Amino acid sequence: MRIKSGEIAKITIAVIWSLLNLVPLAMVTMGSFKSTAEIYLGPFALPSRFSWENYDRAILRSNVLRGIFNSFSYAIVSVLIILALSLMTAYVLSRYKSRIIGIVYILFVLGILVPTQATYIPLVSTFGRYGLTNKAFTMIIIYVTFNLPLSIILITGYMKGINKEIDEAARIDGCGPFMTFVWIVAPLAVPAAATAGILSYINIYNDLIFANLFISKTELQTITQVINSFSAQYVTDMGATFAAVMIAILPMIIIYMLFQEKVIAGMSAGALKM
Amino acid sequence: MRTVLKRINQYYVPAIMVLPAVAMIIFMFFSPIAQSVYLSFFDWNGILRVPMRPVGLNNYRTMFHDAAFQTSVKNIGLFLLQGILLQGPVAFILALFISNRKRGMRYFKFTFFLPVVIPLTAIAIMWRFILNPNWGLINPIIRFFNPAFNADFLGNPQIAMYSVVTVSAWVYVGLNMIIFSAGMAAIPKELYESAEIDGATGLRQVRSITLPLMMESIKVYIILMVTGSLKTFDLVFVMTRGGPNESTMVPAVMMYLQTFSYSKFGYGATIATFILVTGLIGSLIANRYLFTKD
Repeated sequence: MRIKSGEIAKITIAVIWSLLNLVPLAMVTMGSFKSTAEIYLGPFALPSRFSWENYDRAILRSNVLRGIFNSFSYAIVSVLIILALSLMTAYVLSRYKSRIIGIVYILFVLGILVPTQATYIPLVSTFGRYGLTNKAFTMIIIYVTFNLPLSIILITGYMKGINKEIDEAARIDGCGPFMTFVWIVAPLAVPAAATAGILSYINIYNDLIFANLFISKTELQTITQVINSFSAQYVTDMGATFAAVMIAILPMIIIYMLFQEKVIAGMSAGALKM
Repeated sequence: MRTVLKRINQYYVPAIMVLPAVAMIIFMFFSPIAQSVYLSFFDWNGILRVPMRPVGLNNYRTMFHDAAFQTSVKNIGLFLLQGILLQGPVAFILALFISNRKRGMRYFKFTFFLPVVIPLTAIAIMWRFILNPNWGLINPIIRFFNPAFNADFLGNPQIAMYSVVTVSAWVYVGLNMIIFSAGMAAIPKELYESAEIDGATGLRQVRSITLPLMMESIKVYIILMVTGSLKTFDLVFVMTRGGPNESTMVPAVMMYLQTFSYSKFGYGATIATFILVTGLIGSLIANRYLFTKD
């Protein structure tokens, strides 16, 4: 009997919490198809007719499409650079032993532990001094730097588990260290690289603060900046705001649906390492 | 010739491979941190032509006497309290629910983790609407039971911060559920089996096996709550900008506003240094626990 009542309590809480997670999203989805008058009438009413008008307005009045494109571009280019750099670095950190290697490793661990907030002000004034704000290049450099440490530590941990005899065999066959890395170790580290890549991608796509610090030009704004300023500018046009929010979160939800396990593993590894 | 080649392979190739990442982290991460600490001893409005004026510890004195800063520290305490009373227990129960089960868990895991994946900016906009007193979602639900009820969840300084930390719990329960369930997976199954033989079931097992063996994860969780709330920016910035009356101020938002809205770069750097020192101490303690666990 006792097990049963405990089970029922757990199931009840789980069902309630999953509903609590879905209701706000359902409300936004529904609201994005309602007229503004209908939204003010009450959050529970279904839309009287299905129309894309809110989406039209959101797309016309704001830069959502441009924002999505920018965020995608920043994220994809940054992730590719992050993976190239962190695979190389992780290979060296996992295969060589010396005092310098130890120091380099600690440097990246500190890069995870130290709150990034402490870098914002000098970064903004330095980049401003050289006229580097409002540049896509700057965003990519920033995103790469701030996602490197976690990616390196995750991949290094994985590479340490790859049997070193494999690279020794390659070396006997005449492979230098770089070729061993390219042909043997990097391909074996793909699972860890995928986790690190997805984690970095989510961090970059969801970022607001770095974008706010370095981008003010509308053509270069990220999707989070666009929906933030749109929702402040058109406070009364809730329908279009919901449509903009939907456009912003849909790519994330699709990625999450496709790679659920990887996303969960990456985000929790990220949280634990913070 | 051969030895030269060997040398190159042994030292230069690996050095070149780590160089870009090391250079980036030194110049774009550690050097700005040092500059931040340095800047915290100066008065500066951020304009390059205007010289920085050294003020010693004045910025620190101002910070500790600043009512908004005191509120922001208190608000970190509120995050922590929420973590112990709401987020932690819910995450723990959900973790119990998803471990030891195989069927139907994909749906539950998916929904529990969903808020963690969505941009916080979008979540903040969504909740600003839900909490709105006029057309939101919460007031009509409560009015169903108590028709006279009306609360401005984000507009009333008395309750705004409670609303913010509750939304934060809504976002992060899923993440902490995964952390707790990883801790639960590490507990040997035999312990539960022998407990069953001794007649201990259900809640008794949780109390005498799961909880004590997860103390490490729980300590880590509490420290993560502190460091996490120190870094909170997006949620507060988009939902309230620290208002009304600075009642929802958190250190990261305060640093941002002081620096870039009021052009007090030195003072902003002082708050940044506070976040740096407190966050670093928290993380080091957390990692001690993480390392002793291994």
